Amino acid sequence: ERADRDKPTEIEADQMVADDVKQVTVFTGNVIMTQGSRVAKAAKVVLVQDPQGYQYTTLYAGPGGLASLREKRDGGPNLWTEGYGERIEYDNKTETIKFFTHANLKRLDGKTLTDDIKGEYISYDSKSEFYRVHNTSDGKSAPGAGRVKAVIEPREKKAP
Amino acid sequence: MSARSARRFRLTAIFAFAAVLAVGSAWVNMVLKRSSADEKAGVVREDPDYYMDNFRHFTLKLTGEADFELTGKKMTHYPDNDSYLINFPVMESLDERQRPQITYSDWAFIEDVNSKIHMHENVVVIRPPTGDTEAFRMTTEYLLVLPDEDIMRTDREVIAYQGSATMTGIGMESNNATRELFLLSRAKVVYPPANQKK
Repeated sequence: ERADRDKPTEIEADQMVADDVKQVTVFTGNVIMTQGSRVAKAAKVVLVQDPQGYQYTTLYAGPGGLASLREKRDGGPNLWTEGYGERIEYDNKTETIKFFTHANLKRLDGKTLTDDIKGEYISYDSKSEFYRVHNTSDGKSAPGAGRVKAVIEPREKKAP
Repeated sequence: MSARSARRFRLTAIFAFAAVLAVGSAWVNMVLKRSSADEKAGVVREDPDYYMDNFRHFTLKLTGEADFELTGKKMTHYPDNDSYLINFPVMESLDERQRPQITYSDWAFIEDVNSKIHMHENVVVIRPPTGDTEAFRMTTEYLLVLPDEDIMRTDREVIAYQGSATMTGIGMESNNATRELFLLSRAKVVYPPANQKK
């Protein structure tokens, strides 16, 4: 949700190494990254911070696992988005989140699953809450490269 | 045996006895002297043999360039293991190719031919901002400084501030040559929101 962007980003991990020359910080082991309502979990996180303080974060899943990211959505008291992938790239300047390989994006109303999107690559703009899905993990669609699947629950019609 | 040879024999005997006596006493004297010298050498003083107040000490590299400056309220030398105890040490790196760094604490212990500096209590490490890096400040209760390798290490909790980010962890290693900082367990970093970056 929009309020998240004004919250500090907190990252906890088993270990961390900060490289002053490359301006890159790498977190390894049970990494949990939180910013307001947004919570991401991964085995390894690589963070690059630009001089203005914007962060470009890449989350890597552990072997056989998936990195995950969950955040609240605007527009209702209990609307959530959950995303999974073997790799997640998060750019907190443009506020776009990209899920790669076994990508899955779910939208929930409380515990009720409203949308369930699967593909090899899903790009999600958390400002506009608009998402795009492709069947290859390099972000393009290629014929015969696999299936994209989207299950979108009908929205209740708002009373006129 | 005629009287003459008897006298000669008696003289020889007296002379031999005198010679033995002389050699014996010289030997005893030598033994005594050596044992006291040994005693003096064997016993190395455990109490300090000298100290300096308000000292200023510069370490030079093999090239003759200044490596770092060490100052302090008092430096006490212990001859038994050639170590030093320092009150309120302040270490300042002078190597222009490295990031400037100042490290100070309540006290420090230096051993192993000045290759290990154990800094204790209220340890603070400060790196002023440079062209491409932000100010850095770290505190801990113990820090091992290895000046010859440009490495600092601790197994204690550290709290560090790099620019506007705050880092905490248990166990830390910092390499000023490669400019890497490792937090060895329970690492946590808090970054302020981008638009609130100081």
